[in-house]
Amino acid sequence: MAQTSTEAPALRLTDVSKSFGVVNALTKVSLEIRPREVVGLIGENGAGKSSLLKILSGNQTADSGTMELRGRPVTFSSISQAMSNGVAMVYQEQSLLPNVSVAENILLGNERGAVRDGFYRWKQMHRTAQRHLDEVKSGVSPSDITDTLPFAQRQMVEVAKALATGDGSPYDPVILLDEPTSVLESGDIETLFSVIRRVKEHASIVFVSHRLEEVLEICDRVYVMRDGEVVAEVDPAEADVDQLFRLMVGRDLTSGYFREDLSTEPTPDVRLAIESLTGPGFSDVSLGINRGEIVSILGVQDSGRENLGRVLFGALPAAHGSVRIDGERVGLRSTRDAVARGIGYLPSERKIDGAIMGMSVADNMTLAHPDVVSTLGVMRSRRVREVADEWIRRLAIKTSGPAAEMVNLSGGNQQKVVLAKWMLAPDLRVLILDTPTRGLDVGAKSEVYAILHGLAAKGVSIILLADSLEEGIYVSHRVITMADGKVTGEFTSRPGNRPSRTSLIERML
Amino acid sequence: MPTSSEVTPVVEVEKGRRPAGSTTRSAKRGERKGAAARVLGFVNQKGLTPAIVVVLMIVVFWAMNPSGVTLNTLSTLFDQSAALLMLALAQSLVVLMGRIDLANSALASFLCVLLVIWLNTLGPIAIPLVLLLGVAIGALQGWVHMYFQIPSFVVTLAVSGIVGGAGLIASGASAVSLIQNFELVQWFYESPGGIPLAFVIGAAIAAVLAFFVAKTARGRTLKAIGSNQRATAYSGIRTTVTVVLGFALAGLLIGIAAIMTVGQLGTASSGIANSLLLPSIAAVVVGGTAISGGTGGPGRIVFGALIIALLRIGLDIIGVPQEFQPIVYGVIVIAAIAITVNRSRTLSVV
Repeated sequence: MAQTSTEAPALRLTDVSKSFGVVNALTKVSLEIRPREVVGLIGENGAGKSSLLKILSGNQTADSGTMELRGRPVTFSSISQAMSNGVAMVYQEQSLLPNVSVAENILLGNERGAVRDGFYRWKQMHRTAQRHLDEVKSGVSPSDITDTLPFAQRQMVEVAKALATGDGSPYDPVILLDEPTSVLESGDIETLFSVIRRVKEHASIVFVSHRLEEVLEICDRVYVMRDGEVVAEVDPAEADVDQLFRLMVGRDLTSGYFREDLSTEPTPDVRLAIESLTGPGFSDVSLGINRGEIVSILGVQDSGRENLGRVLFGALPAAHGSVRIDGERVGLRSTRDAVARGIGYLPSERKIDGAIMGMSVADNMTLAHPDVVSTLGVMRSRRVREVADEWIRRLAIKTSGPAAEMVNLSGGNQQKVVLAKWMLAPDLRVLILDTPTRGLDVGAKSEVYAILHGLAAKGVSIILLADSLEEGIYVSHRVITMADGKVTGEFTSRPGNRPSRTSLIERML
Repeated sequence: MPTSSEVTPVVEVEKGRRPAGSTTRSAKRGERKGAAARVLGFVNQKGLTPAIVVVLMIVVFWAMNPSGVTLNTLSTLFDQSAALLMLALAQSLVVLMGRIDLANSALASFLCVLLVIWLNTLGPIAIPLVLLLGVAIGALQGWVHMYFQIPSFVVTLAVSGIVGGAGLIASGASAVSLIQNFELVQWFYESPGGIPLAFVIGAAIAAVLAFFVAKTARGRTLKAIGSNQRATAYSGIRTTVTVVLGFALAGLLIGIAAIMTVGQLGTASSGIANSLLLPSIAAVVVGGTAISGGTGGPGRIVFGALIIALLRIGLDIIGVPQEFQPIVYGVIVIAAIAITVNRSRTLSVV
C-alpha cells in the first residue's frame, strides 16, 4: 500500500452526484488529484465548484458515486474527519480565530501532542507551528495574535494550518484553496504563488479561482465545470484565457473575455487633468485623461491608488494639487461636489460601500441622481420604475424587477445596479472604478468590461483600479503603475502593443 | 444636457447568457399560493398588520369587559395617544436613520415647562419659541453626534440629563400651571363633530412625514443612511446634513408633543412626559420600523402609537394595575424587536 501510494492519485472521485431538492448541483463528476500537483478548478458561479469543494472537505456528503483517498474508498462525514485524513480547506472568507495566537490557530482541532491532559504544551505547539510557518516562508511568529496580522499574512497562516493537517498522516496533505487570491493585492499574489510552488513539493493543491490568468499561471492541470459537470480537462500550457472562458460559459464567443472588440479610440481632448495632486498615501500625481479613454492604475496594497481614487471623488481630503474637468477646476471638498461635476465612483467593497442591500434596485439606481426621476424634490413613482426598468434591460440585469431588494441579486447583478447608478447621470464625465470585478464570476466580469468600453465610446473618461494585471492591460488604453504613493510608470496599451507583465510588476514593487 | 431617456443604449449585453439566472422570473410567475397566504402576504407587504392588531385589541378588550369599551373611552384613547404619536413620529425618523433618541421624552418635558412659563410671561410668542427651541436642540444633538462621531444613544442620553436638569431649574422643581393663554393650546382637545382634533392633526402630520420619507429625494436619504451610511456617502449625499436635518425635524415634532401635552393638562413639571420614552420606542417598533434602521418609517407609526395607547387604556379596562404597565411595555419592545430585527447576518454556517 505504501508503495502504490506514490502512484495512486491522492484523491479520486468517480461519478459523484449531489442534488438539493430538484437542483442537481453535481452530476456524475469524475476527477483525480495527483500527488504533488496543482489542480485548477474553474467555472461560473453555480457551476458546482462550491458543492465539489464541500464534498472534498467533508462539509457535505455525495448522494452517489465514490471517493478514493490514495486508492482506498472513503466518505468524509465531517470536516474534522477530512482533516484527520490530511484533506484541508483554506476558506475564501478566512476561518482563523482572531483573538488567539497564530500557533493556536495552526493547530486548532489538530493539536495531537501539543495538548496533554487538556493543557496546551506551548513549547511543542510553537515548535510545530514554526515548522509549518517555515514551510510557507512566513516571517510571522507563532506567538503573534492573529488579528494583528494583515490579511495576506493571515492567509499564509491558513495555508500553514492546512499543511499541519498532514502531520498525523503518513501521506502528503491535500489542500483546497477556495479563491485564495480574490482579495489579495498583486504583490501578495506573487508571494502566495511562490508558496504554492514550494508547498506542492509535498502536497496536492486544488486551486479555485475566477481569475483565469492566475489559473493558467499556477496550475498543472485544470478542470472546467459547467452546470454541475466537469466539461473539460485542460493543459494550461496549451490554453489561453479566451479558451478557458469559452469552455466555462459553454458557447463560442466571437469576442474575447476582455471585450477588446468593443474598444474605441479616445478623442484627443483632455477631459480630466490632475496636477501635482497630493493626498493621504500618495503624492505629486499628475495625470491627464482624454475623453473616452480608459486608464488603468496598477499597484500593490498601499501603493496609494485606492486613496487617489477616493480623493478624486472627494471622499478623502487632498493636501494640495489641482483637478480640472474639461478645463474647470473641481473643488473636491465632498462627494457631493464630485457628483455635481459629473464624477462617479464605484467603491471596491460592493457590499459595504457600493450597494444598499436593504433598498430596492430602483432606489439604489436613482440614489445619486434623484433629479432624473423627480419634480421639485418629489419622486415620481412611475418615472422611477421606467428608468429602473430601462437600465435593467440595457445592462441585462437579472432581477424580478425595479422593486426587488438588492440583497436578492447576485454579486454581478448588484455591481451592474451600482454602475447604472452612475450611468443614468445626465452628464457623466469621469467614472472611477475601484476593482469593479473583484469577486464577480467570469461571465459577469466580461459584461462589466463590455459596459466600460461602451461608456468610453460615449466619451466618459474612466479610471480603472484594475483587479489583475491582465484586466489592466487588456481593458485600458493606457496603464499607469504606482508604488509607494508615486506614479512609477506609464504604458500605452493597444492591441498588438500591450505592456508585458514583467515590465509592469517591476514598476509596481 | 440629455436626460437619461434620450441616451441611446451604451452597451448591448447579450441576454440569456446563463440559463440558471433566467429561471428566477418564471419560477416566480409559476408560484401558486393559497388565498389565505395571499391575503397574509398582502397584509404584510402593505404594513397592515398593526391596523389589524388595533381592531383585534379593541375586540378583545370589549369581549373581556363590554361596559369598559365605549365611545367615551375611545375618544380618551385618541386624546391620550396624540402626544405619544408625536413622540413616536419623532423617534421613528431617528430610528429610520439607524439612530436612537433617548432624550425625546425628557426634551418634551423640558419644552412643556418652558411653554407654560413663557405662555404666562411672554404670551402667544411662546408657541413658535418652543418649536424653534425643539428644532435647535434636535439639530445640535444630530450635529454633535455626527461631528464628534459619538454614538447617538450616548449623545441623547446625555442630553436627556441636561434638559432634565434645565427643566428642574426652570420650574423651580415643582409643577407650574398655566394662568393665562390656555385657549392657545387647549383647542387641540376639542372634538368638533365628535372628531378628536389632536389625533386628527397627529395623523395628518404622520401622513405628511410618510410622504416626505417615501416620496421625496431628501426623505429617501434618511432611509438610505439608516440602511448603509457609507454607501450613501459614496453616492454623493451629505450624510451629516441629512442626519442633522432628521434630528431637527424630530425636535420640531417633540415641540408639538409638548404643546399637545400642555394643552391637555394645563400644567407642566420637569418630568411630565418622561414616562413616554419607552412607549415611544415601543410604538415605533410595534409599527414595524426596524430598530436597526432603513425600513419602516412614519407611515406605520399611527397604528403603532394606537396599539401602545390602547394597551394603556385596555390594561386599565381589564383591571391590570398601573405599576405593571411599564413591565408590559418592556416585554412588548423586546418581543417586537425580536420579530422585526434582521437576524440573517448572524446565521452564518460554513
